[in-house]
Amino acid sequence: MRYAFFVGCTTLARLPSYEVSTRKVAEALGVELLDMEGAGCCGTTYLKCIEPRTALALAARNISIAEDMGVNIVTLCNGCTEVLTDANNTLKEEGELREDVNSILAEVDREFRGKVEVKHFVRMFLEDLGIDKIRARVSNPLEGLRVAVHYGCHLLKPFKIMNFDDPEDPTSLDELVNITGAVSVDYPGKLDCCSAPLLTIKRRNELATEIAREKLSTVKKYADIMITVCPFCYLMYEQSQMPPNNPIDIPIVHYSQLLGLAMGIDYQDLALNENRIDASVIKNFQNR
Amino acid sequence: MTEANSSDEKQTVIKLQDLDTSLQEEISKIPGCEKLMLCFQCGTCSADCPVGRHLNEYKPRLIAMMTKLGMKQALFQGDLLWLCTQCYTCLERCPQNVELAEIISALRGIAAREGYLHPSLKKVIEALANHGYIYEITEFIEEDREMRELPPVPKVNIGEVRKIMRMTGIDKLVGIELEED
Repeated sequence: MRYAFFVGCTTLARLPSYEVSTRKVAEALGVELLDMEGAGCCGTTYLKCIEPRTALALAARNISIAEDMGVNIVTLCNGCTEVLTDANNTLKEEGELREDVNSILAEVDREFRGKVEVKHFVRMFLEDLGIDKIRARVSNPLEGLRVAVHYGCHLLKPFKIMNFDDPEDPTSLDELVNITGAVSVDYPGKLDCCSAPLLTIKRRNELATEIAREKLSTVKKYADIMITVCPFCYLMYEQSQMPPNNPIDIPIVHYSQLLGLAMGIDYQDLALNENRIDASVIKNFQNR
Repeated sequence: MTEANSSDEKQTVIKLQDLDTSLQEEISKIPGCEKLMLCFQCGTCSADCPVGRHLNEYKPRLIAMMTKLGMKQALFQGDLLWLCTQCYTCLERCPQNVELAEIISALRGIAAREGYLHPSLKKVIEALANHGYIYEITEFIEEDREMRELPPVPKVNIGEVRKIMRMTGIDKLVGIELEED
């Protein structure tokens, strides 16, 4: 299986552990991730509000690169996933908009043809690989580890665009956690937003931190670690436990790192030593 | 400016005959925002808003009402519109399917066109125009990738990005200079 790998700005610039662990796991599962030469920022959820035409055209430019490669796109960031999926759906469905965007893309010798799909790796794992195939690769189950799953908003919402799982009662990521031998625990506020977008807005850092810490305090009562599938959510929850904030000591772990460990990949090779909230508690659940 | 449009905080009475209905008309025509007028102020959006729970002055229900009443000044001032995290919880749960998150997005677009783009967002768009990413991909990042045996960061075709930004007028809207390539 081959995909155009849309890593996204935030992972590229700030979170190599997410990319490294995803590449390791993909390789072990026989998934080939191809570089998208010439691709850039997805367009951001902000640009979608401010000037939808710019956002559509920038997203379409990225998608057209995958079309040239003849493969579907796989993403790491919930935000990129929503922006690219929205543009892809809209341009596939609406002829007039597609003509308009293609008249812009023609100026840079590109064309949106509507030939590929965009999937977050969680969705690709479930829909393309299949859960049984992944389960079969779990060699070192993490028996007894209690995991708080954080889906992040744009993996699921708005449903009219994402059309995946159930936005009010999702199970996809819980299933993916449970096959690692760990247990996805239920907890209040599971679907709450991480609030990372507020970090962009001047002087709203404290508000964002307060929102994130509320969820972390709940998670602390129910779980040993929290897993995320988006660089923004990851950074938000990690950062809000760092000084000058008081510690909460909930390790934030990429799903790719959790699965990698359960597949027998080395802790260090998954860059787990780079997680700023020490995640070594997981080692207590290995090889029991 | 009509009274309903006034930013005078002491004003408590909004006279129906002074309402500026142009905003509700403009918003209701935007795809996704058609159901604005169906809002019956139940407050599900406010109750479930992750930001509203922590910040008293942020109540999505009020944004819906202010839009219906045409209170542009109050909506566009400060960072009110920019506090939505776009989690879409309100959109999924509205009993009237109002899609308030989409309405807030559309209001941001109108605010930007009328000169009220939040300065923090201007910086994000500037970065995108400069680097093709919202961050600069520094030499340090590239060296770190090399050490990790990761492929280099995809080289953005920045000329294409800037041309698209120019053609769609985002440079003028946001007030940034884009050099011709």
